Amino acid sequence: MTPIDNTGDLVDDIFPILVTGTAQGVPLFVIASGLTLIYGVMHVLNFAHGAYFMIGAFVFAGRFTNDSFLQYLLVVLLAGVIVAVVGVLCEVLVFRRLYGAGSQVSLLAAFALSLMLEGATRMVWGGIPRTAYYPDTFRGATELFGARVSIYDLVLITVGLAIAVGLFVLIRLTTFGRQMRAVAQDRTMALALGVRSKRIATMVFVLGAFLAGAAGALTAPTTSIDLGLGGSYIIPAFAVIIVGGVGSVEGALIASLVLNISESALFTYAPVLSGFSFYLIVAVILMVRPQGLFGGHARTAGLAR
Amino acid sequence: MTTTTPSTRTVPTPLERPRRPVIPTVQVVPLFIVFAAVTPFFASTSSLFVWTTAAIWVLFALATNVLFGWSGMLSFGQAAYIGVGGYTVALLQDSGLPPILMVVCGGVCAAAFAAAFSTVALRTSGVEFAVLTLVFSQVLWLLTFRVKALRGDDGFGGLSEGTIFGAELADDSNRFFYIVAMVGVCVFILLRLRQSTLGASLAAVRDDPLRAAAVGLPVRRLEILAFTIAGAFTGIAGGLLAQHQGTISPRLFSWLISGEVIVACLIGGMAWFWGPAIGALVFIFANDLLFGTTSSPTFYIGLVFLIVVITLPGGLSSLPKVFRNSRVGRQLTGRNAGSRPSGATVGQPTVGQGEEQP
Repeated sequence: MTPIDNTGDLVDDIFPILVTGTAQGVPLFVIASGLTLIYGVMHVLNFAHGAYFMIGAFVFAGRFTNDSFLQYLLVVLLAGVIVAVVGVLCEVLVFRRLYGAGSQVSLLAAFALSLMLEGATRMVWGGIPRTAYYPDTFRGATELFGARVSIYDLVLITVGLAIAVGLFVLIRLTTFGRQMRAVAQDRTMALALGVRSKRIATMVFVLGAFLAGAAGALTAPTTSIDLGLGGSYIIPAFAVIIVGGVGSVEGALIASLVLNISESALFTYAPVLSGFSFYLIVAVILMVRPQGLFGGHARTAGLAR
Repeated sequence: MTTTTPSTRTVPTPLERPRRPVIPTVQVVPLFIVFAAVTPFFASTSSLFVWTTAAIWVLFALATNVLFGWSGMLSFGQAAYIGVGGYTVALLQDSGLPPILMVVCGGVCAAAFAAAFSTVALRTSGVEFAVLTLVFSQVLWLLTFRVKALRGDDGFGGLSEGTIFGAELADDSNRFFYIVAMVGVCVFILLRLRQSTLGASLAAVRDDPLRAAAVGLPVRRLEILAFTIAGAFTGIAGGLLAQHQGTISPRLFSWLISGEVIVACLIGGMAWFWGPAIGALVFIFANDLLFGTTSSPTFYIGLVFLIVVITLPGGLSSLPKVFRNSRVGRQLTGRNAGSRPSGATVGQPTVGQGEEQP
């Protein structure tokens, strides 16, 4: 699009910008919320999350064939479940052994896992890029408030909203959520009070991996599915959790929306800067608030500076 | 100085004893020269190419270890400085500068980028800092596509041209000698830095930033300095890589390269100065072997790396120590690992544990 200086057009543009920005933010929010939950509870920055996302997309591309809505739903769930199984394997076989070793070691292990999963994906599905179909129901665009928006964007926004509400309920209102927050805050104390922190850790991994797989499946129709997909989503997702404050799902939500809507706006008004806006905003926010928007206290190492 | 002299302590236990890695300069230098002089006569053309790549990776890994092993910073974006070094050489190709100067310029540029970045990014620390380094390398990667002069996916070619003292760089064994010599000089400088008070101050920051600040070390400035040094030598490695391969593309900035160098450091072990060099050699040759034989090398690289992280967190260079502390090793040496007298390390092939002889 060309830059627009007419104010009437500017107002007309805002709605589509909001819609596309929010829709693009949904997969990032979903990945980032899983990442940030896992980090909050276990202090593992799971690099392999991008690979989970990629596997979800590949499962979707391979299994979704006949355009029906029911199959679409089932395949998205299937992708989530398959990836959740992968996530449990990772947690039980690798991360559980490394909780005592600190977050840097587990970050390296997660990187190794992401290499392995990428290699495994190549073995199973081959290295050729794939495309996935939109389900019939969600194809095309529609008029909304006098602007044309893609129907699939609206679907993504609805699903994203549902996941955000679901996570909020899960974390704030259920016993599981309370136990999870307890482990995140003080593992030893939680253990002393009878919280089964190992089981909580596994559950959080299941949840995070399921979300990443489902997000991959949901995003599959909108993108080319190749082995670089994991990397191209995990890095912005890292940016999102850093900006939002590591460990905070609310922060991940706000950050992914802010970053993607501004990206979408820049794409319309200043195409030269598109692609960078993400990183520019990250840099600015971290200069003002190094601990992120919703981050906790400064680390002890910060005292030494 | 932060290390306590042994005389002020009564009975130093192994944990308390100042851990100064053994750096055998005297033994390594002649070995290195003999090896460098002999290799081209034995190696075939394709394996000489791999040897040259391995030499560059040795420098890359040792420079990266300035962050990991020396000062305890985690960076997932060292590819950024490989890329800056490589692209500087590519952009200077038509300037008529001698190849060595081009590489030095690459190092200077990379150091400038590293200093600018770390000044801002070191407001954070730990994992957040690691993510920022990753983000920065992605920004530079994106820039190669957005800035016309950097030519996007097309990249640059013909970088192996030029002569040094009349020797054509395009010739494989000339290039091997040139690159190994450059790497040798850089590694020697790194070695001297590690042995200097700067190296000791960085180790103090790594071990306990709070305590280091309490004894008056400027923690943040030291960290910026370490990051800049790592960037400078990584930039030189990047420039050499560009001249070695003859072509460069934005893949140089890829986060995979950042990850691979960490793999190399970890395989070798970061506690010992030469650990990352061993790791880089193992990594490059294993990679070469796997790429020839399997369809999905990343899987096996990941697997090996994972096994190392879980079973041998100290890397290959910690093997002697692990062995000494194992039951078999204790029986063989007839010593109890827990109460080893400090004098017993003399004459032993110790790694990363013994007292350094000045």
